[in-house]
Amino acid sequence: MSRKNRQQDRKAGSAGAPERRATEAVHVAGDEREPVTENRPVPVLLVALLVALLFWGDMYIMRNGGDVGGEAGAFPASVFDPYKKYADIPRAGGSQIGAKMYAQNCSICHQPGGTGIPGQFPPLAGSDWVLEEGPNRVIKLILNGIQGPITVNGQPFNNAMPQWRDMMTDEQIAAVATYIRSTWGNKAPPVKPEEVKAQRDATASRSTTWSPAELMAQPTK
Amino acid sequence: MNAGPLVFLGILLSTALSFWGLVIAPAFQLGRQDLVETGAGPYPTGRTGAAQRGAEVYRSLGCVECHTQQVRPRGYGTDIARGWGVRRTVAQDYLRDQPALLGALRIGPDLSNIGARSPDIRWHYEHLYNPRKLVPGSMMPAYRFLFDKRKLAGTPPQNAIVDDGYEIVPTEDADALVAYLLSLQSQVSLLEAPLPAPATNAVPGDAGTNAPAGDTNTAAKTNVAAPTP
Amino acid sequence: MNGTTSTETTSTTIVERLPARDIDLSCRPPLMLFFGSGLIWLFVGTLFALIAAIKLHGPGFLANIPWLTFGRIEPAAANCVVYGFGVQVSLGVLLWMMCRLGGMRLLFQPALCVAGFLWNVALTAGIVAILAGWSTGCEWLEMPHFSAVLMLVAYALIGVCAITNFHLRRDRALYPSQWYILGALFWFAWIFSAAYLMLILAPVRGAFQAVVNAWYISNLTDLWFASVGIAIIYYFVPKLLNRPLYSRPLAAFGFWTLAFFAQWLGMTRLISGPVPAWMPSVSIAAAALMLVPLISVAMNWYLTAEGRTNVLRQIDTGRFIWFAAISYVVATFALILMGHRSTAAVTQFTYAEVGRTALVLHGFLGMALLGALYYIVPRITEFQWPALKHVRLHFTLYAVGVALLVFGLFAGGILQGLRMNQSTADFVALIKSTVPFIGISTLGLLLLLAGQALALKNFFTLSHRSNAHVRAYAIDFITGRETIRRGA
Repeated sequence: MSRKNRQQDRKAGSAGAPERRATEAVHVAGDEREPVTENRPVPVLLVALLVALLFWGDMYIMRNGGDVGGEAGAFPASVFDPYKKYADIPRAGGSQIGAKMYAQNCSICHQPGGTGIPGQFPPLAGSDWVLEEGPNRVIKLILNGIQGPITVNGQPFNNAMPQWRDMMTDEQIAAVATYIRSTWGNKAPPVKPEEVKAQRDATASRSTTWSPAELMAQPTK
Repeated sequence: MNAGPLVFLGILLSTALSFWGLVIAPAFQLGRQDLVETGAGPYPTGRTGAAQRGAEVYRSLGCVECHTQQVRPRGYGTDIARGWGVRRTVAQDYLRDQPALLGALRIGPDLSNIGARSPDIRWHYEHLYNPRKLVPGSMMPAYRFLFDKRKLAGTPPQNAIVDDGYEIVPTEDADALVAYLLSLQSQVSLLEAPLPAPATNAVPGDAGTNAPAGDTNTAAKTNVAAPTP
Repeated sequence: MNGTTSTETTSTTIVERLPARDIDLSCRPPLMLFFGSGLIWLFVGTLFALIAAIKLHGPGFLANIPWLTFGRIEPAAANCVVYGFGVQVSLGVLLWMMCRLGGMRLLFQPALCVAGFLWNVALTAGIVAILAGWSTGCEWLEMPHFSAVLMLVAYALIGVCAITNFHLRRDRALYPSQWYILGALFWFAWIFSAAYLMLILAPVRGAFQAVVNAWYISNLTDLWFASVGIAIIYYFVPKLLNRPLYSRPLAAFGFWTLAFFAQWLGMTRLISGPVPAWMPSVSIAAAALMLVPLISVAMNWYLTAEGRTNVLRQIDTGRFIWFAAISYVVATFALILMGHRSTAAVTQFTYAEVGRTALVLHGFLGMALLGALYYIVPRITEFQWPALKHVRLHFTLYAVGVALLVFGLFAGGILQGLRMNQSTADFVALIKSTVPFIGISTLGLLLLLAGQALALKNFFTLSHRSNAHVRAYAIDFITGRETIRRGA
């Protein structure tokens, strides 16, 4: 083909102007015709597949980060693990204060995960002390600390916990108590600042740490 | 489907929907993030001076082509088991990164916690100059052009490598880059990504290696380990 | 060829399309610029990619030259191929298809030529900037400000010309390719300017940058390149086989499902990343939904060509289009499979992702654009390819090259991912074990380069002859002589 072109070139006009190729070879038959369409319907199975996938997709999103127990609403920005429930993550607002208080003050001994250190500091996760329905004993414990041999979840501990009465406000104590009662699998009712205030007033004259016997004698409600 | 404007409207609608869903809505969530108070002050701390210049060097050299800066959660891949991080990385970690170079390909190990994993400054200089001396078989190119090679005369400068009568002095770019690498840490406990409780049987010197991990069930170690790749 | 005006009757109106020859000749100046520069960029980009691939065998290769360090030459390669070849040649082909389908010749040639010139200037400056170190760090957007702005200006010019051409078309009925063309014209402008705004001009904070970047890459690959490639295949398969497209409603169904679902992809890159868990979940659902547009277009193509695929493969252009169609099906299946948490645990951060992008860029888009180019150029210049055998050879080299490139990257990537997930596997050793597969990919790149070299030679020889002819014609026109015999 190229040789033929060159021969045509030589036979062409003067000034070395190359002869044009063969237009016929370039434009094949049917070149003028642009493609057209036919009107067959969309297969029903394909539409059914679309509906099925939409349904599956919706369920998948809901189960993987899209809908987390309703409280925070859907699509929360703080759920990074798709299988986690929002309840496992401390929530914004009061719970954030509680978590912050815990991290700053309590986690040194009781550890960030509420596990404590065996033989030294009692755990808070699953602790029978924390999970009592009435919060008053827990509030009193935080207010005035505790010292002496205790048993938590059947394990003995003998250590000293400082008083937090003058270090935290009612709101902060309520927040941290709520936090430890609702994290690490704990599910106990939250603590309100009014309850803390009531306990603080009731123990206003107390300046020494509780002993275990004294504290156990206190009512929880 | 023969009316151009109608087709265009449909195209516009599809774009608007997806742009809202994938870009605008997350902007409301991620864009509202702010610094959080931790025990050690506001987090993330942000970079200044040499470390920020180092981020520019990192970007300019294209380190992001081989290295990621994101740690995947425990149980998904082995980022934590390999010691590349003590916890997964979350959006809070990158809040003050400018640019945020998360990376998408791992021809080299993850770097989001390299500052804590390899805190030895000399290791970094030697590694940049001659990676295969410290990590045999490494795929990393030698960044000799970040250093000046001069004949040894008197005492070498502080961070220079002495090699066979020559002193290899890092340029400003190398200093900045190493400062940046040392600033790459993601060990602060956050609400959405708490640090796991430290194991009482932590084995020092074993954390953060890409070598075979002796005990993959050991919880993350927060103590700083010997320099490792 | 006598200039007959073909007439068609559509419902009540009679359409007076321009003859194909007139349309083609009107496209010549801008399209030869787009195609010529596009082929050069493709070659340069693949050459850069080859250098990068060799560095993966021996990191000491050219290691002392900062301009060629891996971290700079790899993004330079990507930008060359994506913008220099991918977007530029796509625009040329889309313009031609739009004119042919609308039955109207191309207007505003000078503006389009200026736009092409601006685009190439911007890209050259941008690539030099990346190699010199002025990179933005954002994948596929590494070119700095001035490049991006110039490219946007050039694109705006092309877009306005294209839309005006579209508006002035003679055949008012729309063929499915034209829907995709309309979409493509709008979508690139949108995603590029949004990404430029949010990542480079006024960068968003922190991990959100990764979100916008992933959104951009995914939209460019699985929406824009997909639209261009699908438009080309929809056009050429019925045309080359002289058969109608199997089903218009099915094509519409495929178009709208692509438009509405493909734009939600992208966050699969960030599975288990530092983003809220709902975002990857949405993209995973969208990836599964991509099965619907995939089946729609694949069915349409297959049933249009049913029984005549061997005829299609006999035609030069048809071979490329056939390969592109298969590549699209494979690439989209890979997208669906890799867009799930369990598989992404293996393929994330590995060569497998690079391999899928390579399949889309070279196997699907590259093949479709080259096939269209091989069809269009003789018609717009009225010169036949100087070496027709090389066209066929190009296809063979490319087909084998793409297969090797993609296989090497996928196999290497899956191996890399599987071993990376065994925490006891030494990282350096596992990367070394992928090198043989990178070797296969490097061989694939060499074959691609060889094919591109053939195309370059063919194109520029033809272009030289065509230019000489145009010059002679112009001289004749001015001097009133008749040195050139006008063909029939």
